Amino acid sequence: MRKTFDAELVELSHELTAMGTTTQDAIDLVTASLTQGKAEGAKATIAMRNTMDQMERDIENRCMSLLMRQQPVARDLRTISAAMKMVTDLQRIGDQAANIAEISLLIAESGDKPDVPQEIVAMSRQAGLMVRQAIAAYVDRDENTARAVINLDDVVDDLFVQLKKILVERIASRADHSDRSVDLIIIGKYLERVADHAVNIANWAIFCVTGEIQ
Amino acid sequence: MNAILKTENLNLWYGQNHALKDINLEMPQNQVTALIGPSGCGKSTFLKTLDRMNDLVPTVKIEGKVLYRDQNIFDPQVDVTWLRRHVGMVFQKPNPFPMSIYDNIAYGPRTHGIRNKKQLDEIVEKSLRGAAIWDEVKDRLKKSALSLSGGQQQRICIARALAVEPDVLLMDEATSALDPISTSKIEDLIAELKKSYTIVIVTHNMQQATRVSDRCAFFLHGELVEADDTEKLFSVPKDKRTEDYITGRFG
Amino acid sequence: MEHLSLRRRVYDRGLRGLLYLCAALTVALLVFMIGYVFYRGLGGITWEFLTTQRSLIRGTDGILPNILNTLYIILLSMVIVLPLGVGAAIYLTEYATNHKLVSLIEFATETLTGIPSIIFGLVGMLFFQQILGFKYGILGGGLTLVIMILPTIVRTTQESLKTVPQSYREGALGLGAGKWRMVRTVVLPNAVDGIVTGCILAVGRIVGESAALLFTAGMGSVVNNFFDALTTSSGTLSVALYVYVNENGDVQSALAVAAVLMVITLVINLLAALAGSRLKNK
Repeated sequence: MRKTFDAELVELSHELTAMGTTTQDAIDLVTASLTQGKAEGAKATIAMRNTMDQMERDIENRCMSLLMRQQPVARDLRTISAAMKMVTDLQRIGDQAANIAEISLLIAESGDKPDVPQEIVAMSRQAGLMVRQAIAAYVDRDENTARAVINLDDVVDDLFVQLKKILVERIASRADHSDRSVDLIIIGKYLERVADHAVNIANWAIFCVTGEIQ
Repeated sequence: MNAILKTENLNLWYGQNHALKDINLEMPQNQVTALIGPSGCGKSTFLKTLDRMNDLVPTVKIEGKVLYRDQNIFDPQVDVTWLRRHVGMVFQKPNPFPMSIYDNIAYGPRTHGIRNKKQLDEIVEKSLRGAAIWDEVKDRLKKSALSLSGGQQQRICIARALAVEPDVLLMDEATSALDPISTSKIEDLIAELKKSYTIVIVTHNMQQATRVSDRCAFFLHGELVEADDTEKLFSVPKDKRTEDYITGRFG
Repeated sequence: MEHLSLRRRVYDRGLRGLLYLCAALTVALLVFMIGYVFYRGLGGITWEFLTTQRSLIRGTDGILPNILNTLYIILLSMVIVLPLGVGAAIYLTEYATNHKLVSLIEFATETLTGIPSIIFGLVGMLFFQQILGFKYGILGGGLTLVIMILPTIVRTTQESLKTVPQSYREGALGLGAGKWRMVRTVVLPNAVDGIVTGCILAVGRIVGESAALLFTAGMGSVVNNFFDALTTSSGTLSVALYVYVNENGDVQSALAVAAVLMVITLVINLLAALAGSRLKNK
């Protein structure tokens, strides 16, 4: 029963997964371009923003049309309304990646090869993982995975605290590099925001399963 | 929550068929309670039991209680006429009597002994206004009720039920035979009526249940599976069977 | 495609023609019947024929007693059978809860409607005259007819009660009406048509009956008032018709009686229909 509707819901999951993967790719790419000081990766990340905007619109349109045609209730209503909220978070993550890319492009074009602290790489990896897992939790209706994602946020926060400490020391010791260090702090803050959005997504995944809003 | 009507361990058999199984349900005052469920789940039987309309069926056997204002309606000293005066019923198909609009509305009051012409006039007008159809028929009260459209006929039936000044109004799929415009008129009317009456409806239309009801009860195979605030039931149902039914994945 | 639709059209036309023929033949037969009876019979109807009785002394030959007897017997039978039959039908359809008994009674009434009237005459004679000691007369004849047409009235009334939508009953009961009020105000007014039809059928049978009356009401042809007629041998028009043909060989008068019979039947049917629509509007 409700074959068409079910097929559309599966399609919606696929689209969200694809968008999640794209955001994770964008974060990876921009981090790589930052550490290697290359402009191409940064430019590509900025370009990905358009793709992600398109993905966001597609998912929103599908949700609207499902609401209109199927008048979902219960689990179906939660699945679709969660998707509409999640897609906004995903799009914000894309924005953050693009913001990082802009800074990284400036650095690359200045010709410097900055000394990127390990914490930034770790934060980027964690945040990317959180995004993917949060989406997976939604698709699989897996509350435990979603809660694990929420817990990972503390790890990212800790990394950010450490990063800040390192960079503050750097500014203190090498005043001529303070400009770059401030850039890196801002990037760290962006990554920390990415993790926060991943937490939001995980919360919507939990809502989808239990009906409870955190 | 003040339940004006409630059932306690209500069981009903049609011959060998156990049609209602241990139903415990409270229907709060001035709220709309919607009964939903697939065909043959017992929701209409349940509704009819509240008005003792099942008494017409010879093979019926009933156990348990239906309490109207704490009075068990199956007590031997309870007069069915008394019950039906306080618990009115509107049926699935509009069933105005083949008489004038006025006589239709006056039927109930006359049955209960009101003969005074002026008093009857007042009741007729008040009831027709209550059912939001006064303006449409005030100039042709002497015309046959059968000359009206289906939607108007159904509102005449509602007015006819209101004319005996009941407490509770039972509606058995009262809009299923009507077009969307008449349906929405009656839905608006239900929202208006619940200020003064307690309403119990049976509906096959989920959207209708979500639009008009405050509480919702899901029946399946003669059992009451789940009863809750409508918003809760339609967003986070507790029972898997409820979820499957309301999302259309039943069976 | 073309071919098929042509065949279909031919088939359609053919069938339509056939049905038209059936209808035309039926009408033709009826018109012939009525026409023939009036054509042959009207000539024999004179004022004297309608207003006198047969008398050798006065040398008159009239059917006034038979006309009166026919009206008497209609009046008597209907006055008894209508409340009895309608009452029984109301009980059976609206009140009785024992479905087996009801279907048994329905079966019995169904069977009774199909029994030849001569048998009712025989039973009527044995029962009313030999056991109860009635004389020949309208009373014995009328009661016999009551038994004979009771099943018809019960059946037609039952059928018309059943055509009243259940939703009317539910509506009335739902408003707190008692059973009798429901029957009186909602069920009966909507069954009047069927009951009137039943009455017309019953009157038709009474007017047309001769066999059952020969043994019970007798063949007398003397003018009596209603109460005397009850226990005096009194022949109705149908019986008179029989007597004219069978005993006197007077076909001319018999046809005149037939014409009068037809006119009476027509008038009574019209009156019944009128009464029915009056009742319904009330």
